[in-house]
Amino acid sequence: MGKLFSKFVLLLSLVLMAGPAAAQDTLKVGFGGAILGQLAAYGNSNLYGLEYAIGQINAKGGVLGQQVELVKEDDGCKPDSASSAATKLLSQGLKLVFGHTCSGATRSALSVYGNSVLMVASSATEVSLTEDGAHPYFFRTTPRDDFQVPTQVAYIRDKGFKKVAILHDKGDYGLALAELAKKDLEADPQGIEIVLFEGVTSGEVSYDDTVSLLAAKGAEVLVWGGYYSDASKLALQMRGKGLKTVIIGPDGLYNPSFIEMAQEASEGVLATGQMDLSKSEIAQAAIADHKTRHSEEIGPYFFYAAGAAQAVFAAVEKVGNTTDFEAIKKHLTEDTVETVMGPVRFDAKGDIIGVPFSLYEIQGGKFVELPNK
Amino acid sequence: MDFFLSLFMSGLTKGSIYALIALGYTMVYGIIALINFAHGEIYMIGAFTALIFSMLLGGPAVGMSGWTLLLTVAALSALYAAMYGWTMEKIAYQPLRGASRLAPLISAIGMSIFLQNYVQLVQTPNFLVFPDLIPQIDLPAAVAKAINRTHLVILIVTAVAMVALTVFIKFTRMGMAMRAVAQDPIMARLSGVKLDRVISVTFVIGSVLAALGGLLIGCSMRQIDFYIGFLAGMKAFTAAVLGGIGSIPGAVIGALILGFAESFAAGYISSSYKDMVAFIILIIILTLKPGGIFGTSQTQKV
Repeated sequence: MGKLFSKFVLLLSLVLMAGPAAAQDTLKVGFGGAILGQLAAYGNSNLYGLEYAIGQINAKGGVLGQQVELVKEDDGCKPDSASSAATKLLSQGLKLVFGHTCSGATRSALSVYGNSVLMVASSATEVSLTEDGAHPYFFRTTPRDDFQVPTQVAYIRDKGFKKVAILHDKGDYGLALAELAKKDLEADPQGIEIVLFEGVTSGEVSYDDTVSLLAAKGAEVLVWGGYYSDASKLALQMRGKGLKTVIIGPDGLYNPSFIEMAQEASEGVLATGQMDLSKSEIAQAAIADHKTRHSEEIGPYFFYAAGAAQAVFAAVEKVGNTTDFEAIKKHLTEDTVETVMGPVRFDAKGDIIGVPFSLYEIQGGKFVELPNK
Repeated sequence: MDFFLSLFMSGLTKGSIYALIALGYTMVYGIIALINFAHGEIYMIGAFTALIFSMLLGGPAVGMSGWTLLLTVAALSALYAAMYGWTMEKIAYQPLRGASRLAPLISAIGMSIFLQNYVQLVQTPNFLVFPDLIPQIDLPAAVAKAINRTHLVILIVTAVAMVALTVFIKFTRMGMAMRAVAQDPIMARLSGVKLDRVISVTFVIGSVLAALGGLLIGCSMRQIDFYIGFLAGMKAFTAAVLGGIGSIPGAVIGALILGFAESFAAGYISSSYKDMVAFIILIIILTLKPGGIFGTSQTQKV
């Protein structure tokens, strides 16, 4: 009886000890984003980057002596699914979350997390996510939408264009970019005149009338705020009417589908887009590593997601825990971390410093990165 | 003057694009007083089938090109769309023929949503590149400057379709049966008109026109997706109402007015406001002439 009792106590104590020990074995971090659905390609690109960074860090012994484990929740890039995905991650007590994939979903997830999660996005680019300052523990490694406007304006000034037309698709994204470009140009005109500032209806059967207007106003350059499908129709109809106006678009135009659709009319069209980060040696090694796990391409956000994870883990390692967000934030904003996407440091709002947009020109049916000035 | 001319031409091409789709709307309404909201979707399906057939037949395996390719693709996509139109009427509208007028309208909206989602799921949610199937035509320089060959073909097809439809309805036996059904379906049936057949033929003709529209507008826009039917259908429906729904010349005139209004508003006011200007014109015309320009303002038709 006594023997049995002591055995029982021993067993119990073992179980009790094993419990917390097992929980401390891994550091769980969350991923929220589009894993399924129409925008899954974007979400998975983020996910691949995280897998790479976590694989690297686990091979070196993990973070704070623990192996890192990724908990994934799908939100399909939909704001309503994002809040339930966020609730699930939050209820598991996770402190670090990477994501979400799309700006709208990120916004609704942030309202669920509040200040109880430190989140780093690597593909949500909408300006106000960081600009409104409502979420002190939100960071992102992609440059936000408005960072591309100065690049476009600099090109216009550099080429000495005097007559600028600005068109947008009346959507949130396109209109915001168009207005920023207008503001930038009007603040310091240097002889540049905005001859046209208008919205067009997305999906219209013909943009002939707008093209006539462009021709009549004698615009030398057209700044487009919107996505590639309307832009390709505009480009086709402009070139069809013999209009040689230079077209500059945002990253919504920086998409191979634009070239496929606009065909010969795409030649010479310019677009700002994310920098090509795949050139460095460690980036190439990361791609090779990715190929051992997946047959899919790395996608556009691989390096941003990997960089996000590496920067956060470095800060957590210095702080010594995952709960003191103020201390982690201090490290993220003060120290520069060398990552696979290059040096990473954030400003006080949570935006990455020193990752500009590049300007691409379509030459011979391909986007060619123009040298950065 | 050049600016005016180019706006005029763009209004003309836009108008004829709307007209091609509006003809189908107005015809179905004219015969059975049903607004077929799924008509825009038949147009979209016409464009998709045209794309598929042009890839099949234009590819290296068959190797058709030029006018042969265009005409074969047109015939095949028209046939395909006709089958869709026929089936749609049998499934969604015929069972509701005795029901209140609201029921087939809801059924039409349902059909439209179903077809959109169906194409999105079985084909693709992405934009597809549509080839320019219309062969090179040597136009005189003056004409080529004002209008491109795709738009010229659209204009001609619209004009021919309008005349052919008018002749068909005025002078053939089937046309006469259609007019009889339009006036009084029960009396027409009593005098030996096969009601079901007449209505089916109406839908088939409307669908063929929509498919031709899908093919030609695809050639002009050079890209299609599952959603193109919505905006085009809306504009065409507006045009049909403007011209007097049920009237064939009315649909064409209405579409041209809409096209010109949009184009000149974009040119002289602002393209941000052109839809507003177009719809203000619609409201004014409907206030002055509630039945539309060519419409007979008959009261309830129940």
